[in-house]
Amino acid sequence: MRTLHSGKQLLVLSVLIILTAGIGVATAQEADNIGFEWGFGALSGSVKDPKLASVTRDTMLKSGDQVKMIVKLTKECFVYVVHEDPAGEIELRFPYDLQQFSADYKVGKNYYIPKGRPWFQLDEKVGRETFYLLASPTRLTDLEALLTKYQSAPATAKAALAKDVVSEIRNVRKRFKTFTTTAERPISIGGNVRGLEGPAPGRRPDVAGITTEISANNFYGKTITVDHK
Amino acid sequence: MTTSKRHVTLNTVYLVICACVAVHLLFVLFPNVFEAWNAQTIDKLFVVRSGSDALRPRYDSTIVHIDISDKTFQYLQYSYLNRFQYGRVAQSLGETGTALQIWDFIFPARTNPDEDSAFVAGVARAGNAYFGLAFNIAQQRHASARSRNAQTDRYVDSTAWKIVVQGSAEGLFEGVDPKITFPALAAASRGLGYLNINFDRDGVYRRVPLLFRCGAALYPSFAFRAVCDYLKVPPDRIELKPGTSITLRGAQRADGSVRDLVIPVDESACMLVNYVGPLQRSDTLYSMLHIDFADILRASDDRMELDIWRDMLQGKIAVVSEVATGASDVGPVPTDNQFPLSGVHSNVLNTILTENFLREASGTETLGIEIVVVALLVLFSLGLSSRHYSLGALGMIAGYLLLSVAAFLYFNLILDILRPVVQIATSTFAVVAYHYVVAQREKQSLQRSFEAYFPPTVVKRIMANPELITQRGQKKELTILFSDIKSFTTYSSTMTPDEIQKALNEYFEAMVEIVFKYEGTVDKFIGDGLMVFFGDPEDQPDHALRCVRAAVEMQQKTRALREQWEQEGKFPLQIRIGINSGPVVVGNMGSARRLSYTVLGSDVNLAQRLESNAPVGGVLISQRTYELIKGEIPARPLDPIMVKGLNAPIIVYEVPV
Repeated sequence: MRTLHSGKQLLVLSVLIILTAGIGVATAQEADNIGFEWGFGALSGSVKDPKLASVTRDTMLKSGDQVKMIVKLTKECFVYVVHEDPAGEIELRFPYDLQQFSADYKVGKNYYIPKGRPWFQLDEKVGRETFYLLASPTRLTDLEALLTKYQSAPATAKAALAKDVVSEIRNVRKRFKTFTTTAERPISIGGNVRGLEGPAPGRRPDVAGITTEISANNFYGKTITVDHK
Repeated sequence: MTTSKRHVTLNTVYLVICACVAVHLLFVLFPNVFEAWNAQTIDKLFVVRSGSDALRPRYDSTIVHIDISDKTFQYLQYSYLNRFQYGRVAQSLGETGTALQIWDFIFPARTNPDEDSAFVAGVARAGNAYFGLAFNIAQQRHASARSRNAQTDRYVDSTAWKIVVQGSAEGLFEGVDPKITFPALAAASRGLGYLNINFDRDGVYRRVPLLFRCGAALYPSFAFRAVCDYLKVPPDRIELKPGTSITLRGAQRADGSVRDLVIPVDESACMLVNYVGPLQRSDTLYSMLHIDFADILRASDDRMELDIWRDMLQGKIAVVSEVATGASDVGPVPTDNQFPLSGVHSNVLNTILTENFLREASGTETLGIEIVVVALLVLFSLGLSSRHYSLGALGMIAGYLLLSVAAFLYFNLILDILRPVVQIATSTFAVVAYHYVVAQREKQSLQRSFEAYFPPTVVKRIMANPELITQRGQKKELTILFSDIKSFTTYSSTMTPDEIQKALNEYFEAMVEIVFKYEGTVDKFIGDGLMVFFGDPEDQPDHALRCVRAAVEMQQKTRALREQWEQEGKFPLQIRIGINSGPVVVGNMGSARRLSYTVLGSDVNLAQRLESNAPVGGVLISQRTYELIKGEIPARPLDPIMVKGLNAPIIVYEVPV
């Protein structure tokens, strides 16, 4: 994946951000200490007529397609985007560098990934592009240390360190994971819940594909996998 | 034992037996009332048990609930789950290494081809999902077992179990008109089991039929089919003995051990569910593990997330159900009034996997308990007073309740609590009531006999305080009066028995009235003589005064009677009265058959001698009596007299009448 600069694409991304801003605000809960807006868009089609789509679990991209992400904090928290390419190489996409947390990192500002107007363009290396999105109210120092070590490591050591990074991401996600939930009993009502009935075939909205505001308590982690054909 | 006492004891024994038999019959004739009452009493034990960490049945954490709840919809931010999503969750549960996934759903029909295909594919990839079917319960024997769909019938036929049945399977519930999950999904699943669960008479879900009969074939319940697969027991290694057990031959436990697993069942192949507890034990504690459906759905598009879930779900049995607002799959169970019924299936699984089976006492065992209860009650009734009988009965109730609680908590044995307790209580009530009636009757009879000897005021006091008539003799100073009719034997020889009886009755009636007026005690009638004492049963410090005043009035009354009788042509009535005061023994004396409340002692004899020596129509008193009345009643000293039995002369006084 390489970075590509284009003016029209920024316009399209702005549309995506506007779309993002209107959704999910109501879901933020006061108790949550993590809050940010997240957008992950992919551009396909011709340069003259690009088509924007949110990257979802079903998204399949091909070489030449472009992707761009955006992070906008709504609460003070630390967001990380780590990219693992099909070759297993690791790159910290956000923050742009680890010093950014102490220099340019504030609530309400749009942080584009890649920074500014450029977009990532999928290169010829096909396979699975994996993006690890993590957020925490405190800095993930162990992960940062491993990423720093990875960046400065010689090429021969990178493969093993990449596995360590992915393993640390898994560990940190597991550490903060609450598997069980509170048991609920159905509330008895003298009526029906109409929303539980299905819409007519073919008119079903696919809400899973829309970018959203994310709020969580203590930790948030998500893996976005893009099949690059 | 007197005849009367034996009669009462015999009646008490009959009463105990009759009361117990009556209660037994009531329980048999009105099971709707009493079975429900008993079951609800036992339910309290479930509640008590689930409140204690030490007593609660073991929960096998292999079983987890995957809940589609209000929280799921809030989290997903939409309020409808489609079959794509069901398919993703089914596949994800398979990928996370769950041993089984049990969907508490029937998907009876297709929706749209894309969704159905995705769902079927997800289920097929998981390879370990079970879905539900439902039977109508036949209202009449041998009703048609067929559905209205040939494809459904073919599928249902293909899933029938051929198990070993020892005895008759006629008592099993007969299912007809099966409603199954649509055949394509059913075929992709690992199996279907019926979701039917039957409530008891009072609407509470306490037992679940593990097998249904449909036509000539047998079908397992949803949870039973799954648990047999989990324990790697194929149908041909399952043995049903209706009314006794279902044996799973060579069941392979999670720890690798292989041995038979025996599930106690009733005639309908129903197993009592040993509920771990209510849905929610406290604000933060739940009886079983619950996972949000949304978490699994979210993990389905996140490989790392799914990998993390694998650590949690590997080897688990996931029970997927909907518990969102408006879901009707809720009902009362012994531990919870509003329990999501998917929990019944998970508790069935838990009961079987932990081999923590409940057993109800059989009819024979309950009858045995009743016989022991009756025997003990009869034993009590033979020798105990009402009070002690009641205390004994209370002790029996407490003991039986403790036994029932211990049997439930430590041996998983459910005894019929109510019937023996009601039998004990009813028989106690009957016995106490009977004893009360008998005691009242005896009291009335005693009162009547007291009234002949004691003045009414004293009788009242004695009835209120029977200790006044002490069983043991006591020595106290009393004043004793003897009176005798002069020459009555001579006169009576010329009278008819009727005239004698009439004359004596009239005379004694008048004398006794005077004695009672001064609150004296009539000791006995000796022919035409009368023996009276003062100062007991109630202490009377002025017993001598009362006695002498009574004697004077008796003589005055006799004179009046004589005048009257002379006018009537009867004999001239004249009496002698002798009085002495002194320490005597007073109390009930005689044999067990006949007791008499009387006085004994030399001073009694002296009183009698004084009467013999008294002037006709006069009152002769002793020195001691004189000392007690001196200053109150005038008395004239007479010459000392010699009396039989005493060597020294006795100083006597005559009281003017």
